[in-house]
Amino acid sequence: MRTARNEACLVAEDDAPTRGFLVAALTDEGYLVSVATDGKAALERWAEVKPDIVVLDLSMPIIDGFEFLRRRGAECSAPVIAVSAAFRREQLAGLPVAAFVAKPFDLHVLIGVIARSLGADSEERTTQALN
Amino acid sequence: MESAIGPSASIQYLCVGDDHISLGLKVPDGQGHLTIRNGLWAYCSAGRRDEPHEWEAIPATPFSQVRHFSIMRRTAHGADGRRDAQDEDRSE
Repeated sequence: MRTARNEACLVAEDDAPTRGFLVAALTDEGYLVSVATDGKAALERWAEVKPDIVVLDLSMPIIDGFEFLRRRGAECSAPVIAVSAAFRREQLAGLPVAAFVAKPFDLHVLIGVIARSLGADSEERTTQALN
Repeated sequence: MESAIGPSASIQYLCVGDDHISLGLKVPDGQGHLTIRNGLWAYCSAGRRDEPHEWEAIPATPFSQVRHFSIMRRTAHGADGRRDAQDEDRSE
């Protein structure tokens, strides 16, 4: 583990090898990683864990990533990073997504997007607290 | 919304199972199944995520250049692709 970030990251991904790869990489980056294998489980895990950030595969069984985004609505302030090969960022218009990363992504790109999203979220919270 | 900028990762394994190659011909390019194998991106043109795959290592290829009609078992045609030692993946 490189650093102890102590930031909770929920990885919602139904493909086991991809999920395992993300968990290993994000754990190595110092994130506290929890997982969900479908959208319904992601909603449940989100409610339990209250993650600081969510990496969300849009193509998942039971409840897909789009429905996850619609249901979680405004009650979750954590940034969501949507990942997909089948969909484009334009299809996320109006949904609460901080960033979109197309598969197959470069791991370093995804890690950078996550870090930037957390940084921006932290800055926003600080600004809101100051105001 | 931020979008990932920069080149995406390349595909380094293709599923060359005969059934999946055949099924993949009816699937639009890019609409198959992406997964990770040995830390690298792997692609099955048939999109059969819950079936065993027959992975074959290939030279790194941009995802946008993967064409379903051109996927073939390279080792059977003397190309420079190499079969993975664990290509008969029955674990998924």
